Amino acid sequence: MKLMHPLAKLVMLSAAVAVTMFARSLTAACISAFFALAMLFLHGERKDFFKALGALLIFTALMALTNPLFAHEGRTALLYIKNRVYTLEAMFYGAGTGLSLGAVIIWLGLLNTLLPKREQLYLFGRFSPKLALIISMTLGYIPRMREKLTRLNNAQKTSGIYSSTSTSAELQAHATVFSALAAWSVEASVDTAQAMNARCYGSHRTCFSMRRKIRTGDILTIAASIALSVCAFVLYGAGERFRYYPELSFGSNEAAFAAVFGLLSAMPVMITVKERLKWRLFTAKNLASPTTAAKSLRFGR
Amino acid sequence: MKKVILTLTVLVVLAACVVGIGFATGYIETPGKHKSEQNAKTAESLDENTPRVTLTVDITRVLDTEDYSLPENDEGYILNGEYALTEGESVFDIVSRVFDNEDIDFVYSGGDFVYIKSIAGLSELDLGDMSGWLYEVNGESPMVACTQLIPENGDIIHFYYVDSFDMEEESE
Repeated sequence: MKLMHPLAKLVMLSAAVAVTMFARSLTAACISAFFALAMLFLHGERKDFFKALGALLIFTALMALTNPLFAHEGRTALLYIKNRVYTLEAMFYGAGTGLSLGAVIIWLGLLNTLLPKREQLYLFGRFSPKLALIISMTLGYIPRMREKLTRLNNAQKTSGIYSSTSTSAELQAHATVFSALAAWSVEASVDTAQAMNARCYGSHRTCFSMRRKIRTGDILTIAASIALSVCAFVLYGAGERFRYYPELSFGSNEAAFAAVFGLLSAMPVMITVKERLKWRLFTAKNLASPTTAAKSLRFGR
Repeated sequence: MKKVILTLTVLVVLAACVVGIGFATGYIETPGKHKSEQNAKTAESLDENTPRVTLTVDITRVLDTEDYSLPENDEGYILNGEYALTEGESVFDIVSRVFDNEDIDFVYSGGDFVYIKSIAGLSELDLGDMSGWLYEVNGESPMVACTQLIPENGDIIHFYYVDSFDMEEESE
């Protein structure tokens, strides 16, 4: 994925998100959640993957269990709670909603990790320099402010501002530190604005350097994602749609839709796997590594 | 990780306790038990002293609608009869058991405040953006949901379908 143009990555991932969001089908939700998790497994840390998997499962279970308390449609009655029917179909509906919501959250998180801030700026900064400025300022603002807060706190601690045990005095101390922080941030922003003014910011088109050019592979990826998502929407919309109520019934093109959408959401996984395999099987890498070089030297002698 | 597992276990045990208490107090019932109990209540023979309500479900206001197949009805009435009333039952309780007993499909949503979406396949929004089911008790439209209203002996509960509830207010 590192070699791809940011636009191709953006289009590919947002196509998967769009279909997940707008196709209300249990199959789509399952496929999307599966491939989003696979992608997270390949790109995130092991810990993050298990965290996301656990959160997704718990969230889905919670939605599946609570939805039937409020929606009583569906034919298959499982229980009666206070004279209201608790149906299997409503459980499926809740599970489908939970899965697709979780999948969308995972996809968006992936979009954030696969498209670093620099690439986001490159993509959106050209449309509007002001937007780029706002993005870069807000992205830097919170971490900078937090760092400043710890520094202020540490400095004040050494001067003994937090020595009092009473709650009100402690609150007052925190308020003092916070007001200092606010004053600093206002001053800093004025400084930044003046400095940028002096450098003529906004008086001409902004340039962003990007070493990658759009290549044939990127164009193919973009075209394939758009074609597949349009195809998926057409297959989903045409004929009978997937219905939860009154009984679970698959759409008339469900199998074709599942295949197309599966291909669409598997695309990032396939590209990643291809890249990893290429790297593993790259023989020049082994030759270049110092141990093998040493070995070959030894055998050569 | 240990903390998460502990919290989950506690939650599951709590949920199991709630469900168990629900079953023990009759708050939660299995479909079979529910159905047999409800049918027994509905089939109760009406002698002179049994408390009762009159329940009518009426689609006369939309009977002349063309191009739409209305549910099977008897001159605009899907249901019209007297039914036994058990102490403390809400309008919704009566309606749900009578409909179950008469094999009339109906769809509703909501937790404590139930809204009836569809009766006998005729559902809200079928005949326009403002169409749907309304109800009256003794000729008056109650300002509460049908689960909140406890009818008395001899009350007349009247469900009717309108194609525009706006027109309804103007004519009154």
